[in-house]
Amino acid sequence: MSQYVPGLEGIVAAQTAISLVDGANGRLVYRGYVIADLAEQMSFEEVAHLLWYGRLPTRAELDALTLELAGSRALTPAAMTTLEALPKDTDPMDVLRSVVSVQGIEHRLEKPTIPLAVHATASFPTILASFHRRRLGLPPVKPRADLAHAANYLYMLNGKESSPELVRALNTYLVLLADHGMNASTFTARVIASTDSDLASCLVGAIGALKGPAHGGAPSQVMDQLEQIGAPENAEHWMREARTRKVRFMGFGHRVYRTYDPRARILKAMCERLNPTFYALASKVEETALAILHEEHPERPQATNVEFYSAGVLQAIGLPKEFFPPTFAVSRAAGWTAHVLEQVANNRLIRPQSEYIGPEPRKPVPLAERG
Amino acid sequence: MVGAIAALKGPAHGGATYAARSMLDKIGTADNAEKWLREQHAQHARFPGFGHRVYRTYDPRAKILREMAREAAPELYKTAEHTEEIALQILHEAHPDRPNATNVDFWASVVLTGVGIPKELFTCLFATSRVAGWTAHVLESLADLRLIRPASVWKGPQPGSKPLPIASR
Repeated sequence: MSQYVPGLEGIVAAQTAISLVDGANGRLVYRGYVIADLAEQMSFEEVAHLLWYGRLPTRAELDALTLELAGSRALTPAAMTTLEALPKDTDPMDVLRSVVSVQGIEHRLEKPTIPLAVHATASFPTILASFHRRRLGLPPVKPRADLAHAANYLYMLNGKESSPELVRALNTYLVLLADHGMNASTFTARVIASTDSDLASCLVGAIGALKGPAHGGAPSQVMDQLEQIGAPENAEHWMREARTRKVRFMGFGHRVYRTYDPRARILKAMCERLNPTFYALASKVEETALAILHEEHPERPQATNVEFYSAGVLQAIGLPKEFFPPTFAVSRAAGWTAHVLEQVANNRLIRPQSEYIGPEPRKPVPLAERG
Repeated sequence: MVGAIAALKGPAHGGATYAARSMLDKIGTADNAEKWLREQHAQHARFPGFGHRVYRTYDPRAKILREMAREAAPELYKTAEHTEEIALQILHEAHPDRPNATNVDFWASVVLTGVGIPKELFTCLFATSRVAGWTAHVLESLADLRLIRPASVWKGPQPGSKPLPIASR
C-alpha cells in the first residue's frame, strides 16, 4: 500500500508527449518546442495542430484546419435554446460549462477523435460571445469564416473587427495558455476520458476544475486586488497591512515552476506595451509582493505566475473580468482535447486508492435505541 | 457534480450497468450464453459486469443484488445466472492467477430491469444514489483543501528544437 500524498504532489499520473513544464529551468515546451519560439510567431490554429497531431502543419494542412475550425463555429439548436434560457447574470464559466455540455449531446458516447476536438474547440468562442451579447441586450453576431480563431472571437464579442495589434495579443495569449502539463483541469479531463466517456463530458469536467480560484479563476481576482490597491503609491502600505490579515497575494506562486513562469515573462512585456496604466500599478505590486513573500519565506522560490499579467493583457483586449477565466478555457480547449486523445490512445481507467481513516467496521444501532 | 456525472457516464465506470444489460440482451437465452461469450472472448472483448480494480473476492453489493434479482426478474435471472457461471469459467481459464469476480454492475442491471427501469436510465439511477457520496466527499475535501495537481513524465521529443518556418515544412 502506497502512502497518501496530499494534492498528489509529485505523483506521476500520466506519461505525455504533449507538453512539458520544466520547473527547474523555467521552460514550457509543447511537443519539443519551447514556448518562446511559438508564442508570438504562430497562430492558435498552428499550435492546435501541433498539440493534436504532434507536429507543425504544412501550409496546406494549416489552411485545411483553419477552414475546419471556422466551419464548426455554429451552435446546435439545443445549445442556442440553453443559452437563451440562462439568466443574464449567470457566471460566464457556468454558461460555458452548461452549453458545452448541451453542444456535445449529439455525439453521445462517441470515442474522442481529432474532428470532434476541432468541433468542440470551435464552439467555445461562439458560446461566450453569444452570451456576452445577450447580457448587453444585443443580438448575437454570426461568426465570420474569413477570420481566424482569435480575430473571430473578438469580432463576435464586439460586432466589429479589432485592431491587428489586439488580435495578435489575444492570439499570443491563446497560444501561451493552450497546454500546461498535468494541471488540475487536464488531469480531470483525463480521469473522465479514462472511463471511456465522451469528449464533451471530459471538457465539462475540465471547465468545472478550471473555474476554481486555485486554478484558472485567479486572473479576475488579480484584477480585484489591484482595484483595491488603487495606485502604485498605495501598494506597500496596502499589502503589508493585508498580510497582517493573512490575505493572499493573487498571481504569485506555482506548484511546478521554481523560477519565473516563462508565460508571465511574455505577458508582462505585452502588458507594458498594451496596457501602460495597468503595468504601472501591477509592476509596483509585483515588486512589493515578491519582496514581502521573500521576507516571509526566503527559502521558497516565490515567483509571479501566469495569472498576474494575463489580467492586464485581457483587460487591454477589452474583455470584462468575468470573461478572463472562460477565455483561459478557449485557449486550454486545445490542450484538454489533445490530452483526452492521448489518454484514449493508450487507456487504462484512472482509479486511485484512498486511505480509510474512519471508524473500525461496526454494527448499526437500531433507530429506536439511538440517543 | 457535473464532472462526477461526466466520469460516471463512461462504460468503464457507471456505464457498465447499461453495458451488462446490453450483453444479456444480446445473449438472449441461457443456452446461448456459452457460444456468445466464447466468441466475444476470442475477439478480446471484455465482459461488462466482471472484474474490479479493488475487490479480490465477490463484490459484497453484487451478492445482495444477486439475491434480489432472483425475485425481481426471474426470467432474466436465468440467463444472467448461466452467463455469470460461463463468464467466470472463461475468465478463470484465461487468467487463473487473477481473481475475476462478478461486480455490482452485473447484478444491478438485472435488479433494475425487474424494477421496470429502462436501461438508458441505469447510469442516471446510479448517479441518483452516488450523489450522496459525491457531496460527502466534496465536503470532506473542503476540510483539508489542497489543489490536486499530479505530475507527468515527459515522453515527447527532446526540448529545444527550433520550429521550421511554414514554407519549409
